[in-house]
Amino acid sequence: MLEHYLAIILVALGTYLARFLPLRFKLKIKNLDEYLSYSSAALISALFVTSLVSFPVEFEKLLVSVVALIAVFTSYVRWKNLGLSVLVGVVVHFIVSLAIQKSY
Amino acid sequence: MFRKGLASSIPIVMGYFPVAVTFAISAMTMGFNEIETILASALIFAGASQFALVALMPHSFISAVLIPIALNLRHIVYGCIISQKFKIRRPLITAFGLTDEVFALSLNANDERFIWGLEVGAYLAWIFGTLIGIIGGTILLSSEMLTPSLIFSLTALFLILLIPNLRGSHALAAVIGGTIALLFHSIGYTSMGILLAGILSPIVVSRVRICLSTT
Repeated sequence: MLEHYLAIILVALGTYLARFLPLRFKLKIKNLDEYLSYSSAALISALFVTSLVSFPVEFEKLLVSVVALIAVFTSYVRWKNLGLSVLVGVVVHFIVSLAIQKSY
Repeated sequence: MFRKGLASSIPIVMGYFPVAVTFAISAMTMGFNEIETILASALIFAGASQFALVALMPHSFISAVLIPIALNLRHIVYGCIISQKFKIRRPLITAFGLTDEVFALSLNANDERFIWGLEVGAYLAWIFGTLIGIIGGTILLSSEMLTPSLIFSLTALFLILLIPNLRGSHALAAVIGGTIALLFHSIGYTSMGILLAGILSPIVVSRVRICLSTT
């Protein structure tokens, strides 16, 4: 789809400029780092909740995700490996989904 | 120095590879084709924002562009710090691969070519991981049962990215941001809520901190 290509190019351009401009012009911006770090935390949290919850809320789906998230959290605290923790989450999500389907 | 940087990139390579595989599978689950997926990794080269792009594309084109860029605005701070540490002669080249992890290792550098070594190692791992994910994703997505669990990888990734932010004032920013986004999400304005979360939360946190420091 053309929209996908356009979005990729615009995000790539925005990302590159955010990296390039301060290197090129040696920018010094006061208090920006604090604002951006809070903004990043808020954005990631926003992305997390909106990917987790869908309306109307389906409690079975939410339960499966919550159980898988506990597994993700536990494995990340234990191994500090992003890729492995995501994989653990996907596997647990799949197993719990299957278990719930079989129980009906 | 380039070789030293390349050797120092090994921990980044080990960390990036599985994430790139996950990204490719997530992107294909969200309707991106093989070429779009590899193009995203090749041109953007920024993990969290690539995930945000593919997650938000079904909601709104504007959000799918603005929010990943907003997430990457923190790179401005990285560039400011690096450019004050030592002279950057080729900013056009150095800027491309200045990811979070490359920046962190660059703090020990005193030569631009060391950063290039780090960037080349990290970039190759990112591209190779994406290719492996595309091949694996095509096979995995043929299973209807597995698709919801693969989509869950985005939620899992966002949780992991959130964990280091759950300290001090950042935790407050995360709670405020999450609440704003959830409220707007519940009335069907998901992307608007995410944008407002990123803009308003730092302002609210700053106000709260000022109030607490004066009492």
